[in-house]
Amino acid sequence: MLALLFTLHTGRNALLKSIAFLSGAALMSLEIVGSRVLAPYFGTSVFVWGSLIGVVLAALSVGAYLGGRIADRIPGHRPLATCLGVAGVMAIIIPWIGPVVNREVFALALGPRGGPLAASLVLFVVPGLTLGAINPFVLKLSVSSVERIGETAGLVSALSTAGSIFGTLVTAFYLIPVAGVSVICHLTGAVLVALGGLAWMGKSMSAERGGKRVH
Amino acid sequence: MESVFIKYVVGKRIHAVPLYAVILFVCAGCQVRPGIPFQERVLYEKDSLYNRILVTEDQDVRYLRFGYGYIQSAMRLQQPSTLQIPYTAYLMMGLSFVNPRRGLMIGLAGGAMVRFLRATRPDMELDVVEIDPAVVEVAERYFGIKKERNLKIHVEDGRVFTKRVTKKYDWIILDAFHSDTVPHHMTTVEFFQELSDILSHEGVVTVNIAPLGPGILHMALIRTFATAFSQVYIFQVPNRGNIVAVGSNGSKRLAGREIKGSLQDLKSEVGGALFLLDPAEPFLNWNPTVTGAPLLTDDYAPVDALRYFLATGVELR
Repeated sequence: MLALLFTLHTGRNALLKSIAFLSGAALMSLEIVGSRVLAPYFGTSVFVWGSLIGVVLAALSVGAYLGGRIADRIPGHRPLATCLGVAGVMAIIIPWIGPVVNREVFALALGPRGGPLAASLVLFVVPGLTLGAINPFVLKLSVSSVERIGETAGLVSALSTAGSIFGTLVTAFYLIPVAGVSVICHLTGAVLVALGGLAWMGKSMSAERGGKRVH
Repeated sequence: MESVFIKYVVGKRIHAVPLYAVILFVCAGCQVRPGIPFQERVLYEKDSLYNRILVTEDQDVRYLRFGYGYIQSAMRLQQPSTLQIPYTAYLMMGLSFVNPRRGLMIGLAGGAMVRFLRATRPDMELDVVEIDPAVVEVAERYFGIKKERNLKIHVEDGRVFTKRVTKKYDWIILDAFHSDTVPHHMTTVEFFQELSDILSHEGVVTVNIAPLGPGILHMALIRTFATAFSQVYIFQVPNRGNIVAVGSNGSKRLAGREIKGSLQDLKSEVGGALFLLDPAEPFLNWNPTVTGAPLLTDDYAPVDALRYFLATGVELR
């Protein structure tokens, strides 16, 4: 883990690595805090946790597939920046749309499983899809040669998972005790939007730089 | 080091004997049934969706335990409607504040309070909400809870139930806990406000504030509860860490003497079943205010952290 953090800070193309790490962190932060977005209307039952985790994983899976296809069709860093921006904006508005979505879904009386599943779908499918697409984008931008694709794929995956662990622990151990749900969502969203902005502007990662990419 | 140790122990049989003795003692120390006294026999054991449920029994009393031994409920086999756990007797003091026709209980466990209320207030209509279906099964199988005309048990999250229900209740009894923690969404000012919304004009809420951890959680709970209701009376359960609070929307505050008097009346009416209730005036003769502990909201309710968060300058006045 320390070696990964070291790689993150010192290796070439720090921005791409930071994106892999921090988007993983943001996703898990949203998932942990998401349970508290749902709790006032759907409780904290095992069905709520199951719905939330199920929806996020499904969205990640679909997002990764679609992201991979888009990465091959649209070159450059714009799709990556767009996904980060969309995920960030969604995270920022969850504290405002959460209660509205919860109230509407609750009124439909879909039952102890259907209710939290539907609310999770509406609230968390967009962050899941967009953050799921990050890894293929990062991989596409990082790979410099087919010979080293295994190493690059492994590094991106490792950074993303390490970020997820970081996001889970920081949110559960530190952020929830000191800050409210809204603050945590806004903070997560702000990080994602900032990364999106950097990605949009970042020249170092774009195809124009040619051979300077990380391997 | 390692090889010396192995040689010393294995190589000389004489030294192995005390070693076995040590192992035996260590095993005896780590009981196979941690937290359960030896004289109790285990009647039932199950890992349910939410709890590790244990039903144990000694000669006189049957216990419901969650997790590794926390007693959730106790039933004296000869006197099933007598309340055996002090705070449950205190929760029943709601009967001194209101004569309820319809009650709501959040959290069933072994159903001791349900048995008490069936025996002493058979005409009262009672809705019970319990999230764990296995707990309901156990209460019916081992703790004498029967499906009756005036008693409905709903397997649902307490907060979800209160949001959905359209009835008004004269009395709400809140005792929702996991084995050793409290569900955070049922500690917030919004939740207490929702309880207040389904309370009849004269109605009261009685809540068990359990001593969870050395931190300031219980003070945060008192603060939050006192914020949501216009009249709040708090009682310390003697020799226990529990606090039982009574909240109402009444505009007039009852005098301490008056409350103590009606608690004495209640106790003499129901007799021994409330032997653990010690009639007393509430802790304060005015609405309590808490400083130094946070207000719990749907946005901010870090109950698990507050259990261990120690703060100075926390005051209840």
